[in-house]
Amino acid sequence: MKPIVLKNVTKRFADVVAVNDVSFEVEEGELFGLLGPNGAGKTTTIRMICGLLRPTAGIVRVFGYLQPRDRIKVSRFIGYMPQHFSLYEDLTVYENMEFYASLYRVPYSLRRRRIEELLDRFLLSEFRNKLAGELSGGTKRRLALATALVHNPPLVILDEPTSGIDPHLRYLFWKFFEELRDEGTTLLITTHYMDEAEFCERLAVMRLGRLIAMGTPREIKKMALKGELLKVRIKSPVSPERFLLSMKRIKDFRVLERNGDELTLALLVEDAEEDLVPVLRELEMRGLKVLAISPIYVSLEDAFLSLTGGLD
Amino acid sequence: MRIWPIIVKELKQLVRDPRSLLMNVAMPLIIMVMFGVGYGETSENALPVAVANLDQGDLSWAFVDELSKAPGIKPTCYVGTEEEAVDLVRKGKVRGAIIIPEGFSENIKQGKDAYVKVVVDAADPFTPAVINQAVTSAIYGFQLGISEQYGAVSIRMQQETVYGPSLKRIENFTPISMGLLLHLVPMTLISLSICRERERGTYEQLIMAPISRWDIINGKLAAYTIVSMANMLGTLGIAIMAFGVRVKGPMVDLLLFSALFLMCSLSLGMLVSVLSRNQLQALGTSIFLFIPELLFSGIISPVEYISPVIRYSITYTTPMYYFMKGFRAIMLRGWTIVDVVEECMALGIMTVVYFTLAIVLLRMRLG
Repeated sequence: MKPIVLKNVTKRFADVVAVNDVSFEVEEGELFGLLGPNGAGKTTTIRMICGLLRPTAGIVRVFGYLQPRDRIKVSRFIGYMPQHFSLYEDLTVYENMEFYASLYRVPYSLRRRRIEELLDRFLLSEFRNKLAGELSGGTKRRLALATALVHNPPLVILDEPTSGIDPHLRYLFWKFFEELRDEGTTLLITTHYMDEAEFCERLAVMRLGRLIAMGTPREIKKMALKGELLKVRIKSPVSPERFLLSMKRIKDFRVLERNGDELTLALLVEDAEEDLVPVLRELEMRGLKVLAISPIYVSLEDAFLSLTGGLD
Repeated sequence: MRIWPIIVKELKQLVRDPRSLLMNVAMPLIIMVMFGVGYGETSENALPVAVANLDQGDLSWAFVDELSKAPGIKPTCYVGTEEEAVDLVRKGKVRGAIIIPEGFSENIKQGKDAYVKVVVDAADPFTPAVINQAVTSAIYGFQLGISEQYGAVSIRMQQETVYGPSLKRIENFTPISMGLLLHLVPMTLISLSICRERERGTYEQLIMAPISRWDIINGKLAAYTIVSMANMLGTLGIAIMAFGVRVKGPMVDLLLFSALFLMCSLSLGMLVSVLSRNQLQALGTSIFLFIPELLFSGIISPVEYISPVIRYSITYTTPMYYFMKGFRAIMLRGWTIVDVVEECMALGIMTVVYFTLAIVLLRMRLG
């Protein structure tokens, strides 16, 4: 059974369509990212997956169970960390974790060990007897994550787990996420940070309630630019622009820099790695002296801006 | 002057929050209307009393006439013996009895002093004063009526109480303070409980857990029951030990009856919590519900004074009315829980209704 299946899911609030006909699947053991700007419908999508909202239309299945109908049956398989801190500020770190451990029926004999393990792992041991309300933002976030994992769920859903925390903790969080993935946990993470999304194995990109792209980060960039980029520095007495477009593998090009007879070009090709050597050969065959050639790294942000037209 | 923009902004915000507006503007109006409808017409509303005319003379019947015209009371039973009359009071069928002794007419005709005996149910704090006043005014009217024929005669009023005679003031107020303690306090507290979870965002995490609506509602009810019961035992303990309040009926029955009322209050509070969007609204609703209970449940005035419209629509649908009735009966009259089975049933039915509605209406989703 696939951890998450969404089929043509729509959620309408009064006069707003928050999620519009979205379909995607998350495979077991995957680190799946839901990327999009604020207001794209990420949180609404996640809440429907968790069974906290009923879709207006479409089907949401989690491990084969229908949400929200089977909420109680399926909830023990999900570890959920909402966007905003939603544990009890008037309970201590340990009490919060213990409360959720008992709600999720973690056997009494395992409870203590499991909590200690998580306190250790998320560097919370020194705060165990502190009230959650007294913790700093980053510590609260760690507590929320630890509590979401207290029943050892096979699927972990995190809504913007890293928004508004410092870079160090962000790095740490992504290390945790990758560790969890390596242990076999399926993760669904929403973010609006493009650099983070690069860490995901697959991404669904949302905008204004619609799914506008899906695939690995590389596939998404490729789709956005309609190919990949090579950067070439050549020495050429003649202007090469005339014959560049006649070359089979080059879809488009742009002159980045001109310095006497030295030119730096960006070439749009289908696959930067595969096409590098053939392009090099062809350029040399045409009598150009290639000083350097390498794939251009395109960030997701560039890709995203070109997908969304840069405005949101 | 920078005050004007603030006034405009505040007014705009008030108008855009219709629920608060309802609370602030409509509530006083609604309450005033209820109060007016409830207590406005005075002539009809009177405490039922029994009359035993042992004298059966012409003057005693003239006095009975005066009694039936007296404001605040209404003779509903005429009986032949003093014992019957007192028994009616003891059973709570009437609030008081007026006994005209043998020789009443004869004594007046001979110019001697006469007296009437008034037996009141002192378990209700208002009854004695109201009945005394009514009888006094009847005596005055009677004296006026016969003065031409028989001159000025002195008629004394001899007062007795059932469930008295020496009810302390604090004993009269114990049922009221227990009513507040077992109603307003737990109802307000629990009405905040679900709204607080919603407002602070903890509800989102809570309903993600594999728990049902029963778990949430019963868990909260149980916790608040424990706290309120402890509170009640403490308060009753202080009343009994420090202030010498006497409980005439069985203590166990009193506690059982109170516990039932408490469950009713908590269920109602839970329903308020389920229906409210935030804590402020829950608090406002609790107070809004409490005011009519305070006005129309026999706390501030005998329920007989309330017009039938309000009596049937509000008094008989508020848990407080049944509690005051039952609690007074057990504590001040020495009745047992069997004697207040009707009140128990009323409270039980209300509890079930509130509880069921709370369970059904609790949203296990967001938004």
